[in-house]
Amino acid sequence: VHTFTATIPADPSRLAFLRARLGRWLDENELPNDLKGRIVLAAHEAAADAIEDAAPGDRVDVTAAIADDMVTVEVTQTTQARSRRLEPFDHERVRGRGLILIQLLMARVDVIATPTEVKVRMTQAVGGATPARPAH
Amino acid sequence: MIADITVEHPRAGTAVVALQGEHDLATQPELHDLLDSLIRENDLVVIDLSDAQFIDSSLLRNLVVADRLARSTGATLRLQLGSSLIVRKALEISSLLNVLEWASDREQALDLDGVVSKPDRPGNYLG
Repeated sequence: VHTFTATIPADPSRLAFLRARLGRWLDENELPNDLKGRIVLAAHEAAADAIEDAAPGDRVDVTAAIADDMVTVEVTQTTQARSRRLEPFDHERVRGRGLILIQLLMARVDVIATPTEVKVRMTQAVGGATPARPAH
Repeated sequence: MIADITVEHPRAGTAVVALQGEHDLATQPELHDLLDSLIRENDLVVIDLSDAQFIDSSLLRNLVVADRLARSTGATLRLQLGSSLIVRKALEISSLLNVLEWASDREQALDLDGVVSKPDRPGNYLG
């Protein structure tokens, strides 16, 4: 199975479920333990950032895929509140503090933000492959 | 895996806080309050991570806050590390192993005169 999807409500108590599910999928794809640990921690940090920032009704979607010896994980926070505008990352506030750790864990990290959605896309090589562009 | 926190007092003035299982932002308020009171009441507080399976940046931040309090009260905060790869990676990658005292086993962790890592530079991104 080369794609993974999970959706959790913005509730910190659901993070353990997310980590367990993603970890099992990485196991099924026979990733080595240290790489699995990195990816689970990075995905957790992105989801935790989203949850700490979230309002009731917000949702966190996580997808992962392996292609060409690269693992790509996307963690997307979506808000339903029409009056609310998702804030860009700000390291002075709670939002985004996990991003620094993510950048240390993964080869390439992109943040794509719109008023209703913040997506963190993380890429890491499975074998000797390198990302298309160097990390920051 | 259920997160569990236990406290032992192997001798007067020393507390050992053992973290088992997975620790993320859900357990941090409880851990913060526990460390705050133990640091104020003891000379040495050991945080035993050797049975922890997962830690995240919220726990790392809590460790930095606890270490800052310990320095201000004259107490010593020390980590005890085990074999979990991801726990060690999280501590290494955040530079916390350069900032906090740490030991590889309980005996070393409790030894007030023993050789533990001597952190040489304060501050890191979590500060």
